[in-house]
Amino acid sequence: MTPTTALPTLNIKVLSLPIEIVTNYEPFLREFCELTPALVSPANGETPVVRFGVVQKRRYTHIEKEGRTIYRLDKDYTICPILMDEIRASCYEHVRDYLLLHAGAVVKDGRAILLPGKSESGKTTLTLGLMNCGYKYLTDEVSAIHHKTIEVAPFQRPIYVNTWSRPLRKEVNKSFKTYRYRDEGEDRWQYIVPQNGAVMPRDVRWKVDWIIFPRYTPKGKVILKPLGPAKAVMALMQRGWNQRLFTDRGLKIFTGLVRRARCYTLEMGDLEEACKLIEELVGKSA
Amino acid sequence: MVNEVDPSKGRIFLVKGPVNTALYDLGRGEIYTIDPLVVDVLGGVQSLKPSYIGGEALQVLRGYLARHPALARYETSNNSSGVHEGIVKSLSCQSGPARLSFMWLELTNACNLSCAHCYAEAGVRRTNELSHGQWKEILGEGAELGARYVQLTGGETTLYPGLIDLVEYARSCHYIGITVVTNATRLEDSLLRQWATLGIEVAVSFYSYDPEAHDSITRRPGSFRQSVEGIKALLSHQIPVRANIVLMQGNLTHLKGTREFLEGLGLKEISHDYVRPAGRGEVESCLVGEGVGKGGPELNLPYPSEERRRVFDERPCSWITCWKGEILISSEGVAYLCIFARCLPVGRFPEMRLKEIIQGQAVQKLWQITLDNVETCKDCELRYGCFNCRALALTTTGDLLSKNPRCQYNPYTGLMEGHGGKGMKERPKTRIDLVNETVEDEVVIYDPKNHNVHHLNPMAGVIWELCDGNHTPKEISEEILGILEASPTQVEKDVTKTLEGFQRKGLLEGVQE
Repeated sequence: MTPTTALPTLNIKVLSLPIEIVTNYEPFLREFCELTPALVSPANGETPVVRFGVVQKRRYTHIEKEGRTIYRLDKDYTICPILMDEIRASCYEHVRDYLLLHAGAVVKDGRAILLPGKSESGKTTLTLGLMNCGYKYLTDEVSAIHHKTIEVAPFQRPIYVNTWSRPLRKEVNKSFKTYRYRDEGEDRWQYIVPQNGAVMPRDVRWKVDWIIFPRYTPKGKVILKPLGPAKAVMALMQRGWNQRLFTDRGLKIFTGLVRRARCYTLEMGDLEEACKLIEELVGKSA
Repeated sequence: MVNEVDPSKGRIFLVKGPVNTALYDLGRGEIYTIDPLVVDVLGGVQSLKPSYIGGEALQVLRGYLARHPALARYETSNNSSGVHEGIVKSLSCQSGPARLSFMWLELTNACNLSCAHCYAEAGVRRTNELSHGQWKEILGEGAELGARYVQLTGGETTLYPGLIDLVEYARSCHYIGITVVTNATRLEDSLLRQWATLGIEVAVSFYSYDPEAHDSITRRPGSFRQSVEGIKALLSHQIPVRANIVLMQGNLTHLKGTREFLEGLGLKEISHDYVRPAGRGEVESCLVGEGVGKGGPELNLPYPSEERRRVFDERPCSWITCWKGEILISSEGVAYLCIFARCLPVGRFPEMRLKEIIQGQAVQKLWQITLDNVETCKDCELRYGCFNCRALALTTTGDLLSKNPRCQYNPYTGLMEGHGGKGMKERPKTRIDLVNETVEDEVVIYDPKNHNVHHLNPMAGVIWELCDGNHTPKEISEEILGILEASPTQVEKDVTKTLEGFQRKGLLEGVQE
């Protein structure tokens, strides 16, 4: 890709990473801006570290990174998700002031709950459930822990929900815009995008008071159990995305995080009950 | 656990090991060991499969690996995606009796050389060797049982008087691959003219570019010159030739030079192996020492030729033992599964017909051994792409189901064995590059080499602190007894077990070799 001034260029920042996106495909640009108002901020003249191109060539759209085509897509609805994934992966490579953790995060009254877990452990579901209980959305996937303050910063990507978790959006709807993404057969997927009322200030970071490791256990009981600190550190280390950039400091950051918080595991057979237990826990300590 | 990432294409599999996860990209015939941290990324892609990515999951996976080389620890290319195609088949079905596909027939024990490593211990003709008629019966029965490839070996095959007739008979039985093994020292022009018309392939054993070293292994002066002349003559008659170099004490450092020498003669297909502890090779294999031939998992095909690849393709994959579908009949009629597995006879011809041997329980059971049955390998993420030579395990360790003794990969640590040396020091010492933090009496250890995290309970934490290179295990036990009321025997036992755990996980410095 050869960037030219004639093409629309987006200069954005995700966490501390300045990114440039050049495109000749207007529909993509519109869609990207609609999906990411809470995730990206203006780069304010900072030199981009990563450069993407979204270039329409005949019937394909090429996603380019540093001038090299990395995807050739023939379906428009795949462009934004793949680019957002690429941006996320670029953060893992380049962001050095935040330790990125595979975890959801919500905040209420200035106190954050971290929800670390692997894929399909129920992070997004629990995040949505807690949002229905009045918590504010920070992220459902990437918790950014500042390396010095050991506080969590928002990484507010649009939440991708399917038919089954759609009922969870009922309250969230007020501050999130539903964006019908794709209807294919029986799989119905939607993005819900945080709007003005739900966008958390990007320069504010939140102290983590609770770390809850959810585990989805279909039709099982709801059990909230304290987790020993060493085990919690270990579990967090296993969920780090970019800890290798921090080498030995990574362990210190995770240890610091655990020392300041209370750690639990949550077997989540029923979402409503799980949220109630968390509310009780938070209420007691308040 | 095996997850098929893209079932619509059936081309990519994730196989989880205790530490690492391997990605089998069947489309490219490649295996990657993926960083544990990336497994979740891939898991995320998987979970999104019914959604927007759909059939492009494959593209996304490849994208991650191609664009973030740091995420894939190392990559092992395989020469043939055909074998990996087989992985899918073998993962999905392995039932019913296995069929014979390949036979080695050791026509005679007579040999004009006396090679130091000879697995058949060839030399003089044995009195009770099978008759020409019996070899024909075996060829006929083998063909009926489904064998399509046969390797005529010895001894020296040219010393077997009925060789040409047997090759012609094999042709009439519709064998599509016939290989004659020879030392190429006595190939006369008339014989070569006949061979050229029979469409056979010739396999030659060769040892060194250095005549003296070669002759000292064959134990016959002048054999180097004769073999070289033989190879040239075979090539001039346009007979397909491949060479195998067996490495042992006398030629251990000659591999590169010997390859170049043979390539200079015009040979294209050259393989090598380290001497195996079978027949006369037992002594030689002791002489070369333990470390020789050791390395990582053997993920490459052992047989690069097209002909052999076809044989290989008939086996489902390398995960299943390499002797599957194969049988060796010695000059006296004893059946083995492989030339190296002479300690494990599975029948005897003509007392048992070939069909009885092949369909017998012993052969069928031994043919079905997969790496899922093998200690350690059964947990290894690379097992579906790894060479599974049971004869090597059996002859080296005495245990049929032991891990390939040449493989130094430890799936439980994700590291190659020998990392930090072998064995525990007399005064155990923790690796200096490890990072550890104590949280409420418990210790968390981070290993920057493989990004593993370990958690120690308070007592293990104390032992960890005492692994400072100044305390023997006994002294560590004494220190523990000073702070804990327990029986000395029990404490010693616990300390030993804990230290062994540290060692197994690669957390201690090893003995310098």
